[in-house]
Amino acid sequence: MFLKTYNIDRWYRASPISLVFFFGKASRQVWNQLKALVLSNGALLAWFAASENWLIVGLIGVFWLAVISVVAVAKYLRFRFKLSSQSISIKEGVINLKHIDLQFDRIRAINFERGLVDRWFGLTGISFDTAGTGTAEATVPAISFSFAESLRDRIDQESQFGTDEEEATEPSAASSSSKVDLMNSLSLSQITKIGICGSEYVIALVPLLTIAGSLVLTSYLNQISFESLALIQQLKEILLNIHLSLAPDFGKVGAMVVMFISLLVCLCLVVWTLQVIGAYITWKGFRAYIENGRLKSVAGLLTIREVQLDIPKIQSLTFRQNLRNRWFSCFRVRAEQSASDLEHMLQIPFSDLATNSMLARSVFQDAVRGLAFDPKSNDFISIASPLFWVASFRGVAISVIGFVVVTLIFDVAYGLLALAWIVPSSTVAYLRWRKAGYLCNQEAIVYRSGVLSYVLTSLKYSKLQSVDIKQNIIQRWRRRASLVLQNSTTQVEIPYLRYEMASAFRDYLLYCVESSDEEWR
Amino acid sequence: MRFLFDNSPIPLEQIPSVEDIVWYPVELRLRSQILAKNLLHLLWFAPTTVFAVAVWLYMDSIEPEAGFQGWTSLFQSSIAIGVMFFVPLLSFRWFVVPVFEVPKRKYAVRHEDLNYQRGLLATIVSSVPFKRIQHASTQQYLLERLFDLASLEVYTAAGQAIRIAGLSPKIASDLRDYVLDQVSKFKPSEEFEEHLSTPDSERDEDL
Repeated sequence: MFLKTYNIDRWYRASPISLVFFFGKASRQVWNQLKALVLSNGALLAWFAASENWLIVGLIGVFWLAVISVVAVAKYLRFRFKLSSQSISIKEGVINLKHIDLQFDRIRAINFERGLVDRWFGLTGISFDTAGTGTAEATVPAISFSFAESLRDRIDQESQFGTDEEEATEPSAASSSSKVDLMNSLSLSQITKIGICGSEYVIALVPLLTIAGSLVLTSYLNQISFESLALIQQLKEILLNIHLSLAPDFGKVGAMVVMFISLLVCLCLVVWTLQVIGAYITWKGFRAYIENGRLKSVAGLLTIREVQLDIPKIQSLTFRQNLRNRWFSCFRVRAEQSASDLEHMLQIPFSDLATNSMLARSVFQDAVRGLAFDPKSNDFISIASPLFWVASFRGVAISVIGFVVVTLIFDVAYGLLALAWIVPSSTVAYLRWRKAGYLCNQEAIVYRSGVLSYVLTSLKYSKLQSVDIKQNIIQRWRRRASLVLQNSTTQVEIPYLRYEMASAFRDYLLYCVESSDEEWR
Repeated sequence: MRFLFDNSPIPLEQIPSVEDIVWYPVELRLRSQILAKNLLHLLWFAPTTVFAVAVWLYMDSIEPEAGFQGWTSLFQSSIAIGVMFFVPLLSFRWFVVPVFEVPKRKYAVRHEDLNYQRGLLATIVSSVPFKRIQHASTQQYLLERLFDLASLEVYTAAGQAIRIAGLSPKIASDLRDYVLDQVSKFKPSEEFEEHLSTPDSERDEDL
């Protein structure tokens, strides 16, 4: 009997501990609604702050906290789940009521998420992914950990029956019961590198800068002097003092440059420190391994996340290497089995070439024989040069139009600035062209792209959903075409193939899909 | 192109090519339907136009006393530039392109896949194997009914793969039935098929 603590066919309310989960969920929902408002109305907030209406700012904060709390409690009170021998049912929602009935055999992934409070009480959140949705279809918060494990085993058993045919076609994936370790743990230096390579907090700076910009603009338009804000005044004084102390040594302009660079370095250090701390919290104790035909990962310092994917159901592997990753010779890897959000795909944050190859061979088996997962490999076939000169010409055309318009409205000097756009646009076009390339065999393809970074996307032909051939006017003139390979998680576009080649490749891909008995799932 | 085919067992020249199939054009009255639809779309711009004109006049009236001169000319010149570029481009896209583009829309059905090509200057040829189709449906919106037309939508796990507009209703429904027949040849189980053909909104029934 798989149910250790819950009875079949009876509706249960989640544990009161789940209030933490519902609070977090409500906060995210409210934040998502407010985000657009905050970004677009940053000026309004800045106006309140600039005119020191702290009471109003505080009241707004208390109001939203109250809203979140009420929503969280209401969500908790409305939440029910029920288990039957073949499915799990969930009723939830306060205004929009929702009843989800999820058959075990349709579940593609079961992920655990254990926060600090959950671990304290021996509980876990369990989420179920199906093929149809981008996010987890259903999540049950704060159920007993031992029960969640038995439930996962039960669902695993069910899907094993369901995937008998898949096992027959891909024997080595599903029948290998031995455990293969892809990555055992991450050292502190590796986690530090992950933090340095990340860009989450850099993106978080954007709203901050938006609000700062709005603040300056509102202060200017409302004729509020910066002196009314003590914090900004202090900051201004500190900067002025630094500038004055540097000026004798570097001169006025030199001092400005030195100060700007120092500020930038300080900001980067703060951001990177935050990212390293974030990486440590997210990736502490990271393990990735293959067991019983499943790719699994466990990670987390406070909240432990367990993700597992059925290997035959994995649709695509993506290997990314940004400029900092290239410096450290490491990759970030994603394995996707449905069009999921970041939380529900399996990620390996620090991988090397050997791990890349091992992972690709474990997931796609013989299909990737002869393919390289090293972006610097010479085997990659380059894309034809029109990819460069067409993009380059587009940049030149935009710059020239910009030059004419700006010169007519303002001055030739400003017009020349617009004309200077040719340099970066051509450089980007050149780098993009040099990086683009593909490598394919009879069953799979690896596509390389990027400007400063490298992105390798690999997929199997038998998992394709549709194939398109695109031709723009230049491609038709040069008798070239772009081939678009679409599967359920990603899309690969190979531009500027010879038309005959693209057409033959398309026919071959359709042949692969149509003549194969392999299920895409 | 260098394939890394280590021991190719497939005679590539014998693989059926999409190039060789017979393509069927969509109904030409789709042009009239698209033009009518785009004319109706123009209504969306009416409130914006009225608003812009009102603001323009208002700004003119307050200019002398409020010292808004810079802002007024910036606003008026941006509207003027916008209209100068926007109106010809939109007119071309909405009322000229469809006239020449619709005859280029063609579809073809083979034993194993559905193909659709469209585009005037930039062309796209899409091919969807029946094996990957999850759901197919026909639609007849109000304007389509007025012009006695229907459209066929085909979905795969990656989302909507093809939407063929401008079919006669009979052909659309025949085509849909044929597609679903072909799809059912590959369906894993009846229960699964039933699940896929039910929209999400119906599955998550309201309490």
